[in-house]
Amino acid sequence: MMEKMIFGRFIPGDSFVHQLDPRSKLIFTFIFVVIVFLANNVATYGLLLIFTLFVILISRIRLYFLINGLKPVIILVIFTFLIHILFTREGDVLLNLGFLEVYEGGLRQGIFISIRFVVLVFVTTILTLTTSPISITDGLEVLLNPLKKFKLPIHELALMMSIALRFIPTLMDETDKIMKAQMARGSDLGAGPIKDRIKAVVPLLVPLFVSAFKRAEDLATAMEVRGYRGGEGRTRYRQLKWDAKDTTCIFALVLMTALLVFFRS
Amino acid sequence: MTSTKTYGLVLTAFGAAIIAVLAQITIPLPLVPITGQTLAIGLIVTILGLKYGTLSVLVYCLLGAIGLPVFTGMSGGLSILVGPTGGYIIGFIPTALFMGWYLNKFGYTYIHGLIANVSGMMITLAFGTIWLKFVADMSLYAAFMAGAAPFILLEMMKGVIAAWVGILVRHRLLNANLLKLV
Repeated sequence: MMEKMIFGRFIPGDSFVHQLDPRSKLIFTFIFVVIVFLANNVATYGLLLIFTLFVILISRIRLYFLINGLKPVIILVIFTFLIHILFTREGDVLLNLGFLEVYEGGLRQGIFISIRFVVLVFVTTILTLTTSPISITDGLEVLLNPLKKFKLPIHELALMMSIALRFIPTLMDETDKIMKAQMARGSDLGAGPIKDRIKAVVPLLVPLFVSAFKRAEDLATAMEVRGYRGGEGRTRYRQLKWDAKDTTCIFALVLMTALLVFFRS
Repeated sequence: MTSTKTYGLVLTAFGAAIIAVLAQITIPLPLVPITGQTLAIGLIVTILGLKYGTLSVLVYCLLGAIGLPVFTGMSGGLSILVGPTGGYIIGFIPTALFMGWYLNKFGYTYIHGLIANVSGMMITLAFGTIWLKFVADMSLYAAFMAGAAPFILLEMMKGVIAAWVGILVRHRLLNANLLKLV
């Protein structure tokens, strides 16, 4: 569980996709999420599926992990499919059971929307499976850098993400300790009337916040004595490198967009 | 003496980390156990207030987006954000903004905490529903039946709990002079 919190869902590897710069992967994913909505007929949805399969293949991610990523949304995907089957009334009637009529348009729309979800989930899952949280944070900071002109605190956001990344496991540990300490003093989260159970959370939260405030103060002091004074002129320890692979990846995406625009009806 | 800016940055990061931890805690109740992130969001904004509350929520959502399993049930990743349930997560940010603004304006009392939290839950559900409508190409009614109706009662209850516990914890911290927000 601790490992999962530090590395997210990242699975180390050395496939083509793993070697890409986080910036090109981020650009790719964000544009892909948009162009998925261009698809509107059999040819374009087919293209999307083939393209996604190709990306899965070159990322050399085991299918098991991708299916896992689908889990949290699968119920809604099935539900949406059923809604379209039941309520979209276009085209010929395919099936008539008296109380239930399935239309051709409903079935087609249901399948299209399901493909849309599956493709979206797969491609975005591949991003987080092949890139560690810390390099995504670095990539995001560099990509969003131009927004600094509009006074958006990009460096600060990335820094806060890195700090949170580092301290989530620590705070989890701490919560566990506080829980055990309160249990040793006789508090019981799982018993008594509802009012008492909810109230039992208070002696858990107060020490958690107090310790967070204290740690925050210590860390802020530690940062400042080491000379932290904001993002201006700061150099970075982890350098990003853009090479031919990344250009190829963006080129493939442009080609895909052109094909989608050409074939859509 | 540390500057307030660095402390504020670090505090927000810790706020986001606390949400991530609390989102995984479950209070066992008969029938439906109370779980998750909506409760944690309500709590953090009620305790930390407008500025640090909202920023913590924003950082929390970003952490989820880059693949940390910080959302309910140890899930995470951009796929959650662009998927059919993404609207709830995106809705957390306006929810936090509204709640913080309301509490700052009317004061951190039980009754206002209750109003802020319950309406906050409604904002989250509204965003979830509208998002579902567009992403899944549904009618607004179907999206409401799928994305909001089954949860309204439970979310209201969570709102009540978040308000009660949140205000209680905030008062305790204030009384002990431990709430260091600047």
